[in-house]
Amino acid sequence: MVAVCAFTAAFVVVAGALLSHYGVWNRFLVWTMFTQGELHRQLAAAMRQVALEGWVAAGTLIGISLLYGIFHAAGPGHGKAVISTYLGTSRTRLRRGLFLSVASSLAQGLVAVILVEVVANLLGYSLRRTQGTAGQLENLSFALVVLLGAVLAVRSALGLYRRWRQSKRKPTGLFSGGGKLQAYCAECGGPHSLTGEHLNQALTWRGALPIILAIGLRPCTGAILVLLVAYSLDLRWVGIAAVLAMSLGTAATVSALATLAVSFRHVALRFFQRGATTRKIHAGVVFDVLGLAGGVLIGLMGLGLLQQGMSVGQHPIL
Amino acid sequence: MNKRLLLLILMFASVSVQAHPHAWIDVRSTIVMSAEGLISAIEEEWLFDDLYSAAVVDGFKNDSPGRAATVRDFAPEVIKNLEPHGYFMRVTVDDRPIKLNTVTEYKSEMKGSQLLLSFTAPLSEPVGPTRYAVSFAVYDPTYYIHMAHPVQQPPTLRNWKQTNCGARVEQANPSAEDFARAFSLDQGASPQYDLGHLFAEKVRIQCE
Repeated sequence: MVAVCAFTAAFVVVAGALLSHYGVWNRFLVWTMFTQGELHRQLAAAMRQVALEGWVAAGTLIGISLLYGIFHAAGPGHGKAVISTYLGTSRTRLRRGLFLSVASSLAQGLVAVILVEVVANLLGYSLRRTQGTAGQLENLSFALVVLLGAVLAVRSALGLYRRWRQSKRKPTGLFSGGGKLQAYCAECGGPHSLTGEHLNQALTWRGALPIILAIGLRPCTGAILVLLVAYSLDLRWVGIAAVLAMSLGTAATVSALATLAVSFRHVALRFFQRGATTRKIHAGVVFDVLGLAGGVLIGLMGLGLLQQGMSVGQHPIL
Repeated sequence: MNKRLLLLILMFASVSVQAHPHAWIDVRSTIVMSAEGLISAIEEEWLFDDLYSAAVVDGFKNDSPGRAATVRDFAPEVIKNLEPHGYFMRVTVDDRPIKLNTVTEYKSEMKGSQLLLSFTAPLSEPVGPTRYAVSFAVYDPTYYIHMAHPVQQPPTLRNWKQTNCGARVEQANPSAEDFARAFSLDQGASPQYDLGHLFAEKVRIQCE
């Protein structure tokens, strides 16, 4: 089973590499951008249709919104960067990766709904005012990305430090982890598979919430546009339904990406394991080193984004 | 193999902030020539997409004074906001960038359900297309907005008596490396501001 998974993942990675080599990947990206544009152009018309015909026409709008979410999420964006780096470098199972992807996408939709409700009701209807507030939320989400990276890095660094101290005390302590993880499985005598129980790190709300917020706090402009138009056409609930559909579409794409990130990590680790001739290397060490690198990467990414977000200011038109 | 993998990872570890387009503008450009045969200005007409237009003006009833005022005030505000960004236009003469003077002629109106912004961008120094290779691009550097000349309305030249000059639109053709760079991790170089040109068309003015 594991072998099959690894093979499939390896296949995906190699196929991806080949695709990028022959420009198919590019054409795919250009195509997704083009399609997204076409869908965007249909959104307003679909909403007017709903205003004329009522909920009967809502199906089309929701269908377009769903597709828009799928295609929109295929483009670059910081949410995907955070989630793929996190999943690619931390000890998380795919199931949880999928949960994080879906939860953060839904959070993003929800934030857009709340933002438009609050701004439109308190400050009055205005695209620029809503976008201005969205920009502040964006900076807040970047700050959270920095914090997330720092926490991940520090946690992994502490883990490494603890291991280092332990190994100094007991240099031959491979079998005596004191209830902790062991590099060898006593029954089979081989190294533990990395898909084993020690991947079962409990995903608490405390652990998941920063990730979900770091990604979901910045509402998508597309969602804001849809909600504002819906609001002005007295189609508040239709707009909310459309944004929900958009979030589900985004969730689908991000989930696919999460699957790829986790598979990639499996392949990389298996490769690493085979390469390690001396069997001294503890699986946990690999994860800690990986986690440290991932945390630093996410932290730096957040810093870059934050600095940029603070200096660039609001878009001249949107 | 390793390099390819790295490229792939970089592609996915995309950092560009909300970079994908959120609005679309159909651009129409008219190159204005002086009597001496020099390019003196470029007239722009930007037709904003339906959803964006609706989000800007639909908060108002069809013929309410509020709506008319919003449409009218759109141009001065956007033109003022665009000035520090060079009006999203890059004019080059033999690959040397030419500055634009402050735009003073502009207006905004509704064309059906869409907002239309028109303005005239004067070149700070008129240039002769017969002597130099003149080209320009209209794009949002952050790629928040996708801007393109629709195929059915290519850029045209005005006041050009001789017929041996023309404008040709060159499509953007981002390569795998471009994508990887655009989607990759060089935050130091403000990636947001380099993204747009990868997807920007280039208009070349050519004379025989």
